[in-house]
Amino acid sequence: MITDYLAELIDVLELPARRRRRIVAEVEDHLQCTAAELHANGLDVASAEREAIRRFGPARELAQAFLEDEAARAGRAAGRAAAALAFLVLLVTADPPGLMHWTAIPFPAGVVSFVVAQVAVLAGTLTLVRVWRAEPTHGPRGVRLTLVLRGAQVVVVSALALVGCGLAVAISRPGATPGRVWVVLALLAAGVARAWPSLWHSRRRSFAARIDPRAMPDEQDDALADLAAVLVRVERRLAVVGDARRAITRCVAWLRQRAPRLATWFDLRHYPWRFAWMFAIAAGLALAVGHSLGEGGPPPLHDLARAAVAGSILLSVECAAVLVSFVALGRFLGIRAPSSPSAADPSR
Amino acid sequence: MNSGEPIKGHLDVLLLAVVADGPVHGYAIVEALRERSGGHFALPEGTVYPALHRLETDGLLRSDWAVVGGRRRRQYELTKGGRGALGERSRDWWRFAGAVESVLRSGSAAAVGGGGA
Repeated sequence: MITDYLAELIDVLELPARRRRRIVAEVEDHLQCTAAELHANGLDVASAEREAIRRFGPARELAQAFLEDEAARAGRAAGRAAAALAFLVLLVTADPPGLMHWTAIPFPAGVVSFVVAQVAVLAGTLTLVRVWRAEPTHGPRGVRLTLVLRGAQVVVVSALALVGCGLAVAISRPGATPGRVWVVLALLAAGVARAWPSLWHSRRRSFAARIDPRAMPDEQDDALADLAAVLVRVERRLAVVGDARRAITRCVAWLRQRAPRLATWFDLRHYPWRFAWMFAIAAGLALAVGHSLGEGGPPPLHDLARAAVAGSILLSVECAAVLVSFVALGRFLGIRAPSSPSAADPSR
Repeated sequence: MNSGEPIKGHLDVLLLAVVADGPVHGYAIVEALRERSGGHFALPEGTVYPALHRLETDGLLRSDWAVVGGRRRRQYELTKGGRGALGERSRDWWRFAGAVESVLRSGSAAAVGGGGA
């Protein structure tokens, strides 16, 4: 009977052979000990083994617990590797210092690099936040694991696109590519080479643990909930963050009381498009101001019109990039809530 | 009452406490857990092993094969980090238990007072 139990356990425990051998040896020892003790207390051998197995629990449940732990651990590693890659992307594409200055790369590679770099940084940050939030549970589980893997996937694909754009430009302009660009591309390629196997391993572990890859988060697990949970953890270490949050909460409560209609503008969860627009405009303004500062500060009066046009172009490009990314990846990354069943059902 | 259910969230600290006494194998850990709780914690014994492996991965336990009572067994013991984590989690638990006790005491007192009125 114990032999059958162990055979079933081996069958469902999709782990590396060495680890599986260790688990099976421990389980066998435990079951044999329990059965021997029960037998010594008067049960016949068959009944003792049956009772030992009953006390131990079903083989499938035990295997599932190990598989979920393994998937969570692999997900945590993949998430961290992806976040490190996103940080590398941020370093090499930041403007300034502009190691791979996006405006210096010809269209369309320049625009693609510009957009995918931002997508990579956003997805990497979100992934890191989710991994951090999942620390108390020894790594992301369930839908959180699915979201971490999706974020890691977006980072790796974006970094690959960045390498592809860089290579295409470098190859199309032989001799005109500075040495530092080759260094940057090599660094990015190395980052992808490090993150990719980790992501692949994690996806396999997640598949073995039967984690649903199409799962969508509810309000407890979406991006806003993740950011809020991380803020709470930061608050414990930095009192100033707590003070700021309490001040914002007071402001929102005051606004709700005085101007309830206006307050709904800040309900980002239920009005995701407002959130997207606000974020897009804020990002566009930040980019335009950053660019202006990089060019030597505010323009002189006679150049104001030209500067305004340049700023508007930057703002529009950034807005469009954010909105397109939001449409394409918002749901996939758990930023935008899925359509409610009532909204999706045309009969209602 | 299902006595396994309430300890799920506290299994890690209970395991660390049992292992703190010295190197011990899985079967003995389950036995100790049952004995020390007066038979109250009777969770499916298999649930202990994933938790032990998790604690080992987190660096709170270490394990090795050893021959005990003529059998080859995996023995677990606390690491330095595990000792620290046990102290920290124990303090958290005592603080929490003390707070619950205070609330219950004042609730009981009010119930007794109300009953007598």
